[in-house]
Amino acid sequence: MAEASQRVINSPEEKHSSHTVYHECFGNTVKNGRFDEIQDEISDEFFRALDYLQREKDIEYLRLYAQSLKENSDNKKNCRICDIIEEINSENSGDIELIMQDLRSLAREYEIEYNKRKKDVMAHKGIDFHPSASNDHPLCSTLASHVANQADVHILIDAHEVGKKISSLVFITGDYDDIVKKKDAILPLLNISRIQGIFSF
Amino acid sequence: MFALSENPQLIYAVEYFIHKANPTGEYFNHTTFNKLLVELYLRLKERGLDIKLPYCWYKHGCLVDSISFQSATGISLMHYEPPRDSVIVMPSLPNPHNITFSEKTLIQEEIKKLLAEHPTRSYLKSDNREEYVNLNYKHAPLKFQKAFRRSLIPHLEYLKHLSQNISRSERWDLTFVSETEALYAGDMMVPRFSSGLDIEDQKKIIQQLDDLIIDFPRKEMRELYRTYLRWDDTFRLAVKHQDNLLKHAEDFWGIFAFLLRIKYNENITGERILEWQDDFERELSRYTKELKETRERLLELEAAEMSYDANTDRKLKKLMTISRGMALER
Repeated sequence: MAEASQRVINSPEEKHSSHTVYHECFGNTVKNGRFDEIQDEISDEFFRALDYLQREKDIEYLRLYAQSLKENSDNKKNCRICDIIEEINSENSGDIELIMQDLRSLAREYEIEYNKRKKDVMAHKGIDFHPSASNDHPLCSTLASHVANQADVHILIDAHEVGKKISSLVFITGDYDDIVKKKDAILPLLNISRIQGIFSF
Repeated sequence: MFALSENPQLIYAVEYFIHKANPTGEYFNHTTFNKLLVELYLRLKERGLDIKLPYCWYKHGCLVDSISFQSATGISLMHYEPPRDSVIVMPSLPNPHNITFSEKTLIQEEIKKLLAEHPTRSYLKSDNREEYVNLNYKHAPLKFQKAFRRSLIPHLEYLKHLSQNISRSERWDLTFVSETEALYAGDMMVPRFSSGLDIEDQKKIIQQLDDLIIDFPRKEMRELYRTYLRWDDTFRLAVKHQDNLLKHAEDFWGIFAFLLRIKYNENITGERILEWQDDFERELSRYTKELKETRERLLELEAAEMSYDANTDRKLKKLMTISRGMALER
C-alpha cells in the first residue's frame, strides 16, 4: 500500500482533499491527528531506548526489553526501531555513548523531517484542501445506507462537494470493502466521475 | 460538603504551636508556618502520636491542605493564617478537651524541642523561607524530586542571575542556598562572572540531566514518564541553544508537582484527591501542547545546524516507511 500511496502523491495530476481528511491526519486544536500519534509513538521508542541505555549502559538490556515487547506485542507497543538500533550499534562497535549520540540525533532528524513534511502539507504544497461539508448534508443518510463508517461517509460527501467545482474528479481510496466494492451503488449519488482502488492507480 | 469531625489533637497542636512560636506577635509568614507544622507532625508521628495533619507535597515543599483541614477539625485554616496577613497571635494557652494528659505533654515537648532548634526565632524572618523548605525536603519521598527542585532549579537560577549581572554578594547568597542542598552539583556553584552559558556550564547541566534520568520514578510517577522523556530531550536542545532554561525546568516542575500532590500526601479527603486528579489531567493536556510547541521551535533551530549524510538519509527513509506502514494499518 505504501508504494501505491506514494504513486498517488507523486503523480503530476491535480490533487484535492478535504479538511476532514486533514484533521484526521494532523489533528485540530483539541485532538492529535493519526500522523502526529504515529510520530509520537516512533519518537517515544527512541526516547525509551535512550532511557534504557542511559540507565543500564548496556545494549543487552535494550535487546531484552525490545524482545519482551515483541513477545507481548499488542502491535502498539512493538519495538519498530529495533533494526535501526542494531544497525547503529554495529556502526559504533557497541560504544554506548556513541550509540546514544546517534540515536538522539536520528530521533531529532526524524521529527524534523516529519515537521517539515507536515508543514509542506499545511502550506498546501501539492494538495488542495477544501472545507468539509456540513454534518447535516442531505446525502448523509442515503450514503449511510451503503457505507457503514461515518467518517467515510463524510469524506465521500466532501469529495462530492469538490466534484461540483472540479470536473472529472477521480476518487482514489484504499478502502476496498467499504467503498470500492460498493462503487456501483455510491457513484450515481455523487458528483464524482470515477471511484478507483489505490492499487490500480 | 464534607462531614465535619473534630480532631482535638490536631487543633491543640496547631494552637499550642502558634502560642509558643510567636509570643511577641511578630509577622509570621504562612510558608514557614506550614513547613514547621509538617515537621512537627512527622516528629510526633515518629513518637507514636498521629495528629493526622492533612498535607501534601507540592511545588515548594509541603503544604497543609485547607479544605481537608477544615474537614478534620471543623475550623478553617484561614482562621489561623488569614489571607495576605500574618499567622494569628494566640496570647493565651489553648484549653484542650478530649485529649489525654500524655498526648498533651508529648505535643508540648515536641513543639518546645522544635522551636528550641531556632533560638533566635529565625522562622519569623521573612527572608528565611528557603531554610524551612529545606527542612521539609529532608523528608522528600523521591530522590528525583530533591535533585530537580533543590539542585537543578537552583543551579539554573544561579546561572540566570549570573547572566543578569547581579552583585557579587547576591551571587554568593544563591551559591550558599544551592550548595547546602545540592545532590549532584559538585563544584558547579563556584561563582563565575561571565554571562551566558559556556561549554562547561552546558556540560554540567547535561550531567545533571543524565543523573536525573536514572532517578526518575518510573513506577511511582508513570503518568508522567512519557512526558518526562520528551521534556528531557527538549531540555537538552534548550541547553544547546541556550533557550529559557529556567522557564523550561520550572514548567516541567509545575506539572510534576501537580502529580506529586496526588501521589504523596497524608490525611487528605477523597473528594480533594479527585479534584486534584481533574486538575492534573487538565494541566497535563495544556503542558503537553506547550511542550510540543517548544520542541518544534527548538528543532527548527537544530535543523538549521544539521547536515545529512547518505547513511542518515537512508535511515530516515526507513523510519518514514515504518511510519507510513503504521498509518495504513489503522
